[in-house]
Amino acid sequence: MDIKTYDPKKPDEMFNDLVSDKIQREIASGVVSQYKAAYEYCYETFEPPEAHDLLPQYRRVCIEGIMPDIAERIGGYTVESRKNKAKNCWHRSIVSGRIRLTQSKVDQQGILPRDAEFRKGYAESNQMLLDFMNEDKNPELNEEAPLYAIITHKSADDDEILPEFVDIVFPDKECNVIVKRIKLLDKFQDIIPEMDQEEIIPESLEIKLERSVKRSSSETA
Amino acid sequence: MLREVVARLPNMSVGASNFKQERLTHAREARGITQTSLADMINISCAAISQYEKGQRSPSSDVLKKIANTLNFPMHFFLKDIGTRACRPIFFRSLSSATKAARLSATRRYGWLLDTVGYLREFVTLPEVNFPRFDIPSALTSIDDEIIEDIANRTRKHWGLGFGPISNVTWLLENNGAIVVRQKLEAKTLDAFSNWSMDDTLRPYFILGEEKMSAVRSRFDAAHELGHMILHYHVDENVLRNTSSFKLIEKQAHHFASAFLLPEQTFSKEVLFAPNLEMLVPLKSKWRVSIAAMVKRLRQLRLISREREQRLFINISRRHWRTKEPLDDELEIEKPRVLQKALDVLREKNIINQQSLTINLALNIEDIERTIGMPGYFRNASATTIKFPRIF
Repeated sequence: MDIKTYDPKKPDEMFNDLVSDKIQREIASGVVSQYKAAYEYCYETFEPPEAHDLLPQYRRVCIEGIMPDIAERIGGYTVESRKNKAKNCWHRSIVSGRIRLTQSKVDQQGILPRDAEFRKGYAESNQMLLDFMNEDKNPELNEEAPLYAIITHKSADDDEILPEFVDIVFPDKECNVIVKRIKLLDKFQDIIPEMDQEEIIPESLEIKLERSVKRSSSETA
Repeated sequence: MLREVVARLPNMSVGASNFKQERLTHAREARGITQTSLADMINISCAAISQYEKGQRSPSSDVLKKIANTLNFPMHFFLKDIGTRACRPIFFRSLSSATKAARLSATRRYGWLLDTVGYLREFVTLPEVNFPRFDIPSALTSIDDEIIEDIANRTRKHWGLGFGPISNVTWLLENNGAIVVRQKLEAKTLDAFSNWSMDDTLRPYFILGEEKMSAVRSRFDAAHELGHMILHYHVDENVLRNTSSFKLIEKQAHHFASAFLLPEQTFSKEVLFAPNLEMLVPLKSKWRVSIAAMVKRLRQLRLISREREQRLFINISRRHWRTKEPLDDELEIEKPRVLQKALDVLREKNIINQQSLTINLALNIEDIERTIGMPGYFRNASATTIKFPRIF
C-alpha cells in the first residue's frame, strides 16, 4: 500500500488528511460550548470575584472532560489521561491514529503555551520528522509518522463567555516555535452559533370575518 | 338559521320520531356511562337502551326527556343529524383498556370541537394551514433516528425558525393553521391527542390535556403530537391497533419532540461535560423543557453515558422531581388563542351569542365551553355584563 508523503513544512496537510473535518469540528465546537457552559455555571453559582477566579480552572476541566464524550459519540479518536512528570497534575490528550493533541489556554493567538515537560516530551517524541530546519536530514513526513499538535484557545478580552479563537498549532521538535496553524473558528464559521437567540413566535394573529359575513354585517349597520 | 333549527325541535305530542340512535351512543360515551348505568339511572331496561342505540326502537318523548336530563344534553341533540365525517386516525397516547372510556369520551368531544370550528368557519377565516409535508418512508421501521432528527430540523426551517428555544409552541402551531385546545381529558395517561381533520382543508388539531399542569410537559406534549402529524401522516388506523407499531410510533414522536425542542446544533453546546441536575435547572428555564426530558436528550445525543443517565434519573427520583420539578410553578402554561379570538370577534360584532351556539351545535353551554377549552367563557361574560336597573 502506498504511503502518502507530505511536505514537512506543512504538517497541517497531513493533519487534515488524517483527522476528519467532523472530528475537527466537534473539537472546536466542544471548546466553544464548554467556554459558554463553564462561564454560565461559575457565574450562576458563585459571586463574580470567586466566579472570575474559578473560571479558567473550571473551564480547563470542562474542555478536557468533554473530549471523551465526543469520542464516544462520533468515534475516530481515543482519549488518554496521563500524569505529568512530577505526578501532581493530570492532562488529557486526544489520540487519533498517529496524531496526538493536547489542549491549552494561551495568552494570545499564534504563541505556544507555557513550557511544560509533557508538551516538550510529546514534541520530542512525535515531531522528529518535523525537524526540517536541518536540511541535511532531508526529512520526509508521511502518514505513518507521529504528529503532535496543540489545541490553543483564549477567551475574548471583553467577553469570557466565548473563545476569541480555537486553533490547532504544530510545534517544532523543541516545542519552541509554531510550524503551522489551523484556525478552527475560521474553518468552521458557523460554530459560534446564535445560541441565545430565542425563536420568538408572534402573539398577534388577526382573525378576519368571512367576506359574506362582513358584507351582511355592514348592510345591517 | 336559528329559526330552522328551532322548527326541528321535537313535538312531544307526536313522540320522538326524529330520534337519531347514534346520538344516544355518542352522548352516553361522551359522559363515560355504560348502557347498564344509564338504564339504572332512568329506570328502564338495559335492553331498551340497546334497542334505541341500534335503531330498533325509538324512545318515547318522556323517556327521551329523561335521557336528555340525565345525560345533561338539550333535547334537540338527539334529533340532529350526524353527518358523515372523513377523518384520519386519531393519535392517542395510550391504548390501554383503562383509558378506553376516556378515549371514547374524548373522541366524542373532539367531534363536537369539529362541529364548533365548522360553525365558526362560516363566519371567520382561520389561519391558513402551513404544515410541511416531507417524503417520509412508508414503512414505520424505516423511520430511523437520523431521519427524525433531519425532519425535526427541516420542520423548524420550514417555519423560518433557527435553532434557538421556541418562545411558544402553541402559538407556533396556531400561526400555521392548527387548532389547539386545552381541555380535561379525564385520564392522566391520555395526556394529549392529535388528528388531521378533513372537514375543510386538511387541518391539524391538537388536544392537550388540562390535567398536566406543567408548562414544560405540556409543550413537550404539543411537540410530540406535532411529530405524529408530520412523521405519521400516512399511518392508517390498522397500524395504530398493532401494539408494537403503536409503541414504535410513540417512540418516534417522542424523539421528534426532543429533537424539535432541543436541536442538537445548539442544545449540545449548552451543556457542560458531566452535567448534574443543578446545571440543568437554568437550562430548563431557557429551553422550557423538563429536566427529565433534557437528560434523555443528552443521552440520545451521546453527550452523557448510559451510567450517567441512570445516575441522573436516580437523583431525579430521590428529589421527587418525577412528579414536580423546579420551576414547574413558575413557568407559565401556554394558552391557545385562535378560537378565543374568533369568538371575541364574533361576539363583538353580535354575529353569534350563547343562544345561537347552543341551538346550532345542539349542546349545552358548559359542554361547548369545555370542548373549546374555555370554561366559563360565555357564562362568566354574561354574568359580568348584567346591567342593573338605575334606582335613581
